[in-house]
Amino acid sequence: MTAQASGGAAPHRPLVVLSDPSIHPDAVALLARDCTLRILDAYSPEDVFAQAASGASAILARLGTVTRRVIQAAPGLRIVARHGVGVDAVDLAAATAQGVVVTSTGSANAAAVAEYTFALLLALARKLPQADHAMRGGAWSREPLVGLELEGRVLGILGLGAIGERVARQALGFGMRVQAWRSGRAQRQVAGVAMVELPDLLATSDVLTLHLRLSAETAGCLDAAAIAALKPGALLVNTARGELVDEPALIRALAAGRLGGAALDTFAEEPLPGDSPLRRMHNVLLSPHVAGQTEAAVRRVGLAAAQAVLDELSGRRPANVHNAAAYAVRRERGLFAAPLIAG
Amino acid sequence: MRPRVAVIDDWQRVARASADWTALEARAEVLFLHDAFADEDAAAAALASFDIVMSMRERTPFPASLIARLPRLRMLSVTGARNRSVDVAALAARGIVVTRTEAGEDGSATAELALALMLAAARHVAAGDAAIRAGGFQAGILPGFTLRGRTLGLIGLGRLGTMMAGYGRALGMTLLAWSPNLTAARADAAGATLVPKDALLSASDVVSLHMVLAPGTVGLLGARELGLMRPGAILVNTSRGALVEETALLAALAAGRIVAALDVYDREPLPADHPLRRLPGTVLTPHLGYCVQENYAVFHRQAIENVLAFLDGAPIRPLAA
Repeated sequence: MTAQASGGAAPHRPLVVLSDPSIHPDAVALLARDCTLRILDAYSPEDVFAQAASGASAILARLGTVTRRVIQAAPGLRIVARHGVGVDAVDLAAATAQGVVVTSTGSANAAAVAEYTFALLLALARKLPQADHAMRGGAWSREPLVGLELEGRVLGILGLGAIGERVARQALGFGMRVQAWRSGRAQRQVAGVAMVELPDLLATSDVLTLHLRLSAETAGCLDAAAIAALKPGALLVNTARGELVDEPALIRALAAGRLGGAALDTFAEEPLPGDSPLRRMHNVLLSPHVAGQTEAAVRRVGLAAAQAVLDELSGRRPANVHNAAAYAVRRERGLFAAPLIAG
Repeated sequence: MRPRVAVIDDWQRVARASADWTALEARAEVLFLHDAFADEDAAAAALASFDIVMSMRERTPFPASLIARLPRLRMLSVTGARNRSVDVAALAARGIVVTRTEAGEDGSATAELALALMLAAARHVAAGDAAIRAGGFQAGILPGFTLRGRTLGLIGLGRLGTMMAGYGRALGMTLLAWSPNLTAARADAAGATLVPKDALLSASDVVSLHMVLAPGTVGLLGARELGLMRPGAILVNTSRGALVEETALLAALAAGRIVAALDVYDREPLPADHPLRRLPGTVLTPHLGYCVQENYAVFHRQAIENVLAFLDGAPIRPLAA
């Protein structure tokens, strides 16, 4: 018999490609029970990603982007499971056309992001990094460290989903007045939160925080005009997506003192270039896209993404599918009818 | 205020161990209820203070009358893809979200239990086990009969009926099949012969039911149909109790005409004083058909996902009416 036949006794283990080594070990172990894993280096080049994906049944994607080229290189690909809330880093059209299901992990990191949003806001308002930095330099200088009080101030929340709602509840706990704007779908009532029109939100908020999903509709929604419409001296917090903001316009407004400050965890380009002017601005607080990173959330999100892969490969529909049309494509073309793993 | 979640119908006390509840317990007060409700009054009293109820399959029915007595209810999570015991329209009228789940296996769990019941009934496995535990040995145990060469009549030849056909073939049984819409070609493909219902009943040594309960199938087997069965034949029911007229079945069993191997009943849990519990010549299991680890893992995991999505204002997996 041929070598292929002699190896045929072993059960087929589908290949799952992990975008980087930062997936929680419990999630990796869950996948490894039924699948062969290939873990890429973080931010691998597109051709490396495409080459690795060519024989893959699933991609678990945390860092980097899953491009059309990666998807098209993988004819057996059934699912791209995003590690996190957004699916903007996946070419949805290419996936759908190939019958590839794209999932997110829903609100699994919502608490982590919401809590970090407040960590940034408080640190910015009270100049915490400056205080710490000065102390480590040997100083005891209290005069420059006069902060902004949140109680009684107006917090504007752009996007009132799982994260925005949590931020709202925290703000109410601080005695802030909270208003929000939400696009599309049925308006959701959150006790104590006033729903307002976007121009009002921009013009009347002392602090603006972004909690929108990035899509074609929301990209650049905080453009130069919107930034110009903000209350003078307002603070901006962004733990959502850098692409929601016109970054050069933001930099100009900060440099001109038009805005009081910005706390940013996400950027138009990640990693943030070393020469970005943001790195040199004193009224800006920066962190490297870590809002969702608590031990609990990283584990929960990792397990949710791994479970989506296992659901899909065993013939079930995962939670949080973002392109249900992929199933119609499969039916039309008779693709992926048989499960690859038991369970 | 944290929402209150009741995990009901956990009769086997397996819900907590079947899935990771930490994400839900971080956001809600989660209580596990292990006993069946005696009646609607008991259910209404126990559940009135909950915002979210997570139920198991069709164990606790949710008719409009009960829903009307649950003023706080905002979400009902049921498990499995279909549920005939929930009034979806009454829930929708109140704006209550109702969600479903998938299963962890393909129906094999129930089909395998039908096979187990058939073998247990043919060989008096349960009676033998009871005799040994009572300190005896063979005394009182009637001789069994072999299934090889016997006739298995399948009422319903869908997914589960077809699986049962495969098991029957493996045992060397002759297969007959009937259902209202069964074609000769489909019967043929399963290795069975399509015959009229009455002919199936009078020619089979074992009759196994694999039908869904619907207005047209309630009481599918009444006194007349049971009277057609061969003396000593085994009736296996892993589908739904109401497919068989209970009074007629009790009479046939009391007369010792046939043997019944049952997993499902008109009323579940089967009342403690029910005559079935005292009749000889029966093998009884407590609706264990779908009760396997694989199902509980998926039921509970997806139900938790559904509740978390609901709490975040973006419900998933709606139950179809």
